[in-house]
Amino acid sequence: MAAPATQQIKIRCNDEKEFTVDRDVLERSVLIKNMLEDVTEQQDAPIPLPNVSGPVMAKVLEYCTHHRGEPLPSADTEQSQDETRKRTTDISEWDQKFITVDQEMLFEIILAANYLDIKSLLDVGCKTVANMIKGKTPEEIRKLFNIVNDFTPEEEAQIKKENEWAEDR
Amino acid sequence: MVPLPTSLTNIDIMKPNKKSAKTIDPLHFHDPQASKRLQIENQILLLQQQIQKLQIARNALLPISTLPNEVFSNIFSICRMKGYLDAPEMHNLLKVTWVCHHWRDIALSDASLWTYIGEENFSWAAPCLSRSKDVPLEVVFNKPCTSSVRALLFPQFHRFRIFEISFLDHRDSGAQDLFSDFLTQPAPVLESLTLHRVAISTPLFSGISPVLHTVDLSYTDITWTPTILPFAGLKHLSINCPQPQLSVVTFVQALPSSLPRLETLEVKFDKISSPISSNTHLPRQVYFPNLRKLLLQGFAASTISQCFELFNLPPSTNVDACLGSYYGDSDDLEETASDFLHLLQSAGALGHCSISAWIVHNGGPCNTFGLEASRNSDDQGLLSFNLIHPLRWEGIVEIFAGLPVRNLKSLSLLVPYVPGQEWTSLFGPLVNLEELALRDESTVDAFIEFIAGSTPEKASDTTVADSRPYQNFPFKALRRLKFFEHNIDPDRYTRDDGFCSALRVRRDYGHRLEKMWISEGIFDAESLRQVVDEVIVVPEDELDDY
Repeated sequence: MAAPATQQIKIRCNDEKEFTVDRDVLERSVLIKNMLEDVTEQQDAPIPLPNVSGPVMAKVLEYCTHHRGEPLPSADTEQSQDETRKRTTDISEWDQKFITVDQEMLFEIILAANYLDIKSLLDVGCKTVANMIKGKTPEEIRKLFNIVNDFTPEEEAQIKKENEWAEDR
Repeated sequence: MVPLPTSLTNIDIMKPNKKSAKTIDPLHFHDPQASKRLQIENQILLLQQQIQKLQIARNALLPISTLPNEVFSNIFSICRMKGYLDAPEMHNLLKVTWVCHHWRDIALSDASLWTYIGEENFSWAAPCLSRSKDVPLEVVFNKPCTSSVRALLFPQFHRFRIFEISFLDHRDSGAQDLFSDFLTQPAPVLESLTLHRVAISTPLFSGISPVLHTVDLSYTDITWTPTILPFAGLKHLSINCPQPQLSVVTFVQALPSSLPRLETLEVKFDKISSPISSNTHLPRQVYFPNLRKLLLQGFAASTISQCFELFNLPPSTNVDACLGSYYGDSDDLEETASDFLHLLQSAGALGHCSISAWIVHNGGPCNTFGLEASRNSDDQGLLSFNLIHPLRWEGIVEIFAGLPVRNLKSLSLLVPYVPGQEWTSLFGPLVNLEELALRDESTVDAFIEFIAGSTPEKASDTTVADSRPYQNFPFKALRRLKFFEHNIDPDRYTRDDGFCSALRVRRDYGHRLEKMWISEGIFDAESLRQVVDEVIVVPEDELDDY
C-alpha cells in the first residue's frame, strides 16, 4: 500500500548533517525511492547518504521541493532516445537561478544528482556546463576551468590537422 | 646526464602519456660535441615528458575532473546540439577534444558522440566513421557531397539508424538520385527515413527494415501501391505531395491492412484538392486500431467529411484537418457554411478534432485566412471557433444553429459585422464562453453597443438579487476579451459609450473581466483598468502575434 504523501523521512549526510523531508520530495531521487520501496517496515533511523555533504544536500532538496509533484522522466527506451535527440540546451528561469552557483558547488550538485539518480537535476547541471563550454575556443575553455594544456608538440600538430577539418566546411 | 630534481622524479603519475617520445643513444655518434648536444636534447625531451605528466596530474585534481566519464559524455553530447531538431554542431565536439588529454580520451572513447554525418562534417566523415565504431549512424544528406564521401558511407548502410535525403536547394535535386541505390539495400537498424524529392522505383530496402518506425515522404516520385512500404512495424507516416492525388487517398485507405501499428498519419497536399465527388472512390470503412494522431491538409471540406465518415478511429485520436495550403490563393477556398457545418458535424463522431481552413498567399506576406474550430465528441460539441475568412456573419449563424455550442470556450470573429444581426440569439447559448476576440471595426462597434445597451443599470442600493434583467445578459462566463483593429480613429474610440459602466455592472454581479487586450487607440486604457483586472495595450505592429 502506498505511503501517505506527508510521511517524513530522515536522511544523514557524510558530514553528519541530518534533514527531515517529506517523502514525495525525497522520491525525486530514484535511489532513495528504491531504498524506501525496499523497506517494508517503518524505520526511524536516518538513511545514510555517504556521498553527499550537508550544504550540497540542502541545495538538492531546494530543487526537489520546487519540482515536487512533477512527473518523473519515463524509462521507456524509445521515448528516451527521442527525448535525447530533441532536447534543447534551454534551462527554465527558476532552474537557471537555482544553478547560478560557484563552479565547485555546481560540480558537487552534478555529482550528487548523479549519485542520487535525479535525472532532471543532472540534466540542468550538464546543460549548464555545456552552455559554459559552447562557443568558446579550447584556450578559453581551459581558462574557464583552470585547465592547463597538457598536449605534447606532437599531439598539438595532430590537433592542428583536425582544426583544418573544422575549417574546411 | 643531468639528474632530474627529486620533486619531478617522485611524481605519482595518474595518467601516463601513451606516446613516449623516442630518445637517441648519444654513443651512436663519435663527435663528442654532437654526442653532448644529443644528450641535452634527450634530457629536454624527458623533462618535457615529465612536465606533461605533471600537467595531466594537476588537471586530474581540478574540481571539474571529479565528474565521472559518463557525465562528461553527457555534457559533450549537449555541446554538439544546436537546438531543437537542428543538425548537431560537430565542430563543438571537435573543440572539446582539444582542451586536454582527459577530455580528449573521454570524447574519443564514446562512440555514440561521433555517429552524426552531415553537411558540416562530410570532409571528415572518415574519422567520424572510425570513432563511431559499430554504433548506428545518423546520416543527413541535405547538400551534395563528393563521390568519395558517398563511397565511404555506402558500405556502412547496415549501420544507418536515421537516414535523410532532403536537399533544400531544388537545383541540387538531380544529385539526390545518386543516393537511390542506398534505398535498395537491407536496412537492419534503420528507425527513421526522410526522403524529399527522391525517386523510388522498387520496394524500399528490399523489404528488409525490421525496426523502421518513422517514414516521411515529401515530393517523392513514387507509385502509390500498398506494397511500397512493407514494414508492419511502422508507427509514423507522413506524406506530402504538391498536387492532390486520388491514388494517395486510396493508398491511405489500404494502409490499415499493411501498417496495422500506425499511430500517426499525416497526408498533406500543397494545393487544395478538388472534392472527391463520388463515394465509389472511398468504398469501405477504414479501421486504424492504434491511430493517435491524424492530420489531413489541403483537402476539400467535403472530402474530409467523407474521410471522417469512413474512418473508424479510436476515441483518443487527435484529428487535425486543415483545408489550407501554402501556395494557394484565397479563391481556392470555395467552401460554404454548409460544407463547414457538415464537416464539423461529421467530426462529431471522432475524438478531439481541430479543423482549420487557411491560405498562405504565394509570394506575399504570410497572412492567413480561414476558419479554425475544435470540437470533442457529440456530447461536448464545439470547443473553440475562430473565423477569419471566407465565411460571413450569416455563416456563423448557420454553423452555430447546427452544432452544440454550450461548451464553446473560445470564440474569435475576424469578420465585418452585418447590421441587423441579432446578438442575443447568436450568443445567448454561449453560456460557457471564456474568451472572445473581435477584430473588425464594425464588429467591435456593434459589440460595444450591444453590451452597453443590453446591460441593465444596477440599482443604486446594489441589491444584486433584485436585478432580474441581468439574468438574460449573455457572456456571463467571459473572462478574457480582445479588441483588435488596425487604423484606429482616435476620435471615434477613445470614449466610454457606456461600455465601462456595463463592465462595472458585470463586476458588481461577480462576473469579473480578468484580462483585456486592446489595440492602441481603442478606449482609454486607464478607464478600463478601473473595471478590468489587467489591460494590455498592443501596438499595431504586434497585433498579428495575438
